[in-house]
Amino acid sequence: MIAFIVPLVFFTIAFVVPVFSILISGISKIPEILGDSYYRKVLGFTYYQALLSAFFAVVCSLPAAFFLYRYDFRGSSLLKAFATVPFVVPPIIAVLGFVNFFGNAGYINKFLISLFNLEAPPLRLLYSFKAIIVVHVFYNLPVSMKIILDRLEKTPINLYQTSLTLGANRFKSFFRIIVPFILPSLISAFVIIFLYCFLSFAVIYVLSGGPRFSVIEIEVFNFIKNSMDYSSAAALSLCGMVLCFATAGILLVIRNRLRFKFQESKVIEKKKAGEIFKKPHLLAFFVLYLLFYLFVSVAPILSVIVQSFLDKDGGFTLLWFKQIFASSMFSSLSSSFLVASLVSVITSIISLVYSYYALRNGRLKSWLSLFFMMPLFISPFLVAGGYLLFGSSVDLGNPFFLLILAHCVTAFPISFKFISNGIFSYNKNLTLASYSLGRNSFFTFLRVELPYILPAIFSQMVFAFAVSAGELSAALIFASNSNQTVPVQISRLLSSYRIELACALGSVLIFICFGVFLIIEILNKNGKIAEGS
Amino acid sequence: MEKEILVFDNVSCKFKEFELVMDFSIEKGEFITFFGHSGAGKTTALHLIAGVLKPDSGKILLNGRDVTSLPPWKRNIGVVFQDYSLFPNMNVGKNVGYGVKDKKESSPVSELLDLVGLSGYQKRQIHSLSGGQRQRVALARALATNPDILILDEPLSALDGILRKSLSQEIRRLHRENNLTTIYITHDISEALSFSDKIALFSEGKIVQFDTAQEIYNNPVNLQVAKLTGSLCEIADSNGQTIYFRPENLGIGRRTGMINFKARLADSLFKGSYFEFEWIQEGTEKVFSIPSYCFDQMPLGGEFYLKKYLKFI
Repeated sequence: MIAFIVPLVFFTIAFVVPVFSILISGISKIPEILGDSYYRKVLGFTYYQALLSAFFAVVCSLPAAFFLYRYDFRGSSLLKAFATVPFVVPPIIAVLGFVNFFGNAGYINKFLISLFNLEAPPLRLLYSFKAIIVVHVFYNLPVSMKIILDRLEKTPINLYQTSLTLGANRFKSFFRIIVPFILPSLISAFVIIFLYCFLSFAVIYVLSGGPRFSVIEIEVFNFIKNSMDYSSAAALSLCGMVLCFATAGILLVIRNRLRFKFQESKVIEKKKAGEIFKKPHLLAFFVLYLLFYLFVSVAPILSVIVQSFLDKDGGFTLLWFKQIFASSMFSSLSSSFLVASLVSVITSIISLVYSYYALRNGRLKSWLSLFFMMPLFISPFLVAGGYLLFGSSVDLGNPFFLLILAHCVTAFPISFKFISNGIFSYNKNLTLASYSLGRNSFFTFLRVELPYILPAIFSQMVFAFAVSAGELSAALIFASNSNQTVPVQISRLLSSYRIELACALGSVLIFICFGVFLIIEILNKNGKIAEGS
Repeated sequence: MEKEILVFDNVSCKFKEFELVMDFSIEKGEFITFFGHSGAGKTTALHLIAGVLKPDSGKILLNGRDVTSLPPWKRNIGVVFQDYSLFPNMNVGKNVGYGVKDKKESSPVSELLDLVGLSGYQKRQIHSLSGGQRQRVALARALATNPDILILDEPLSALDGILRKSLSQEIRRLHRENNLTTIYITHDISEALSFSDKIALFSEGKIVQFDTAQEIYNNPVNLQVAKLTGSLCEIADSNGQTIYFRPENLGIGRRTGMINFKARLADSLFKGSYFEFEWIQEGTEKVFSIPSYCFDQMPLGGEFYLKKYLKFI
């Protein structure tokens, strides 16, 4: 039982108590916030941009999902793995890529200026509503694609074939048979992206360019960081939460009504990708689609890495990296690395303890699982604000410690999900077999259960590291001039238009995250080989 | 009392809405089969013996020692699971040697692998083995700790016909040679009847009959047991009462003092090595099937008598 109490106590102390204290302090301020037309406008805009972003992300992900469902080709698993992009690539990197690629002085404008000999940049996307939507859509598109694809792959294709034999044409069969099956997954994808965009901060913080496109998260940040008005921050957050959860709740109720039980089909035999060449119109569509996706989503991130190695004249240089390592920016790198490593270790310990419990007692009840997923749907500013509110009465010590705690909370749902999924398919008879062979609970955990869940633990380590290394919100709250993390530093470099340095720092962040990912993968592989030999 | 190796003393165990009640004992060296349909309580009984579940009341004695509260790893019970549950992160040798605590003793791994016909398989990975080979590894692993009782949980259910036969012979051979108390769990009646010294017949959380295979087949305690344990025919006697009998207890012609009846042949079905004849009892229109091997000669007249019929308690 103690194995369950450890994560529960951690979660309660680090998340539930601070968040609930700050929320309670905000209840009395709600009328004041709702009475102010500016905040009503902020609430409306937040809602509007989240709805629009989620809608376009789902719509734009449909062709990709259908293509991966029908066609088999080398690299399809890589494309599916793209679903993890939003969790590994920090939003600040996506924004940095967008500024570097589509900005007024970005690659596209430079190219157009030189091509048509223009005097001013023709593409003015930055600081516009379009920019916010585009980044949100393409950042979240892989998530939507994965959710829809998972459902499509379970759709009983034999029913579609039956429909064809009963005389319905392909179009009618598709809408009458396939669409009802995937509709719940479209709503699931929509809800997840809607929630994410509702709480979006980094993208809008950099791309909004002022109060015109302000959202709840930006106002909450201002309340906490600048005016230390925790109750107003909580009141605005509460209003947002009601709006956001009510919408998500209604959509989930609709989704559950649309769901019906069915026998999952066997995996359909996919067509070889080459077959698409027989259908030129389809081929043209997918080529254009892929090019557009690479252009809007992948190219900007790659441009960050390219830019960090280019000097002002376009020649190769390591100058920006030298500047980083020679200046105070290096301390932000070491801070980020240290914080992310500690977060990774702490969440791993909690995950290990929880998995010990879960392997013996089965998965948690769904409401308790949802409870542990709460930090995904709650603003990180509320967590940070809760700590500061507590800190005003009790000395909580170093803000560095609070930042680690806040990052642990942010990474907690992902760790929890990884472990839950990791133990989902575990065969409990293995534990029983070990017991029957005279091995006690602890030995069984070490030799039988741990090797089984180790890949999940390693994966959660990488993701916790990536989440912490890329987190901007809590880091902005606890940052001081002497103690900054990489995302905070990048946002400051961006606001002072030092793009090259921001790109170099962003590249280092990408390399570190990728490096950690590689190390864990290698360890994982070697671990498996060693155990099996 | 000394011969008893496992005693269930008024044990009851509730699990969700299911309750298992057991009060019986097993003698040393016996080959016992737990037989019953899915959900009858066989696996719950296994979990109670292995120590994964604790009874709500009653006592479990192993070798005269109360093990009711003893954790599974202190009971010395070997289990071969239906899915074999071989550790995928260990090779064959490591799986078999997993439970051997005293590493100083000469390792029994190769001996055990010889015993189950897998000499030289020590370094093989589990995923490279066939279903039958996995079953043998699981058996060797369970034997490695010299268990007091060996439990085999439907070990043949995942295998094809030929493999089932050869492995069932091997299980019986191992039992004979080692005189190891064995509990065999199955829902296949032919396995239950052919393997066991005794069968514990489970139904709805109770052992409804615990006896030798012949006794259970010939004298089932109720209709349900009779149906579960073999082919059953029914006719009506002169008073209109339903009579149940095994097909081999049907005689051709008339016998005074016995139940006599007339039937007409309705159909014959070719079953490969024999025919199955479907008869209709005259006057009642009750239908019963008798395989051709039950008759010494082909019945011509359609008059029959019952050598024996089933009487339920």
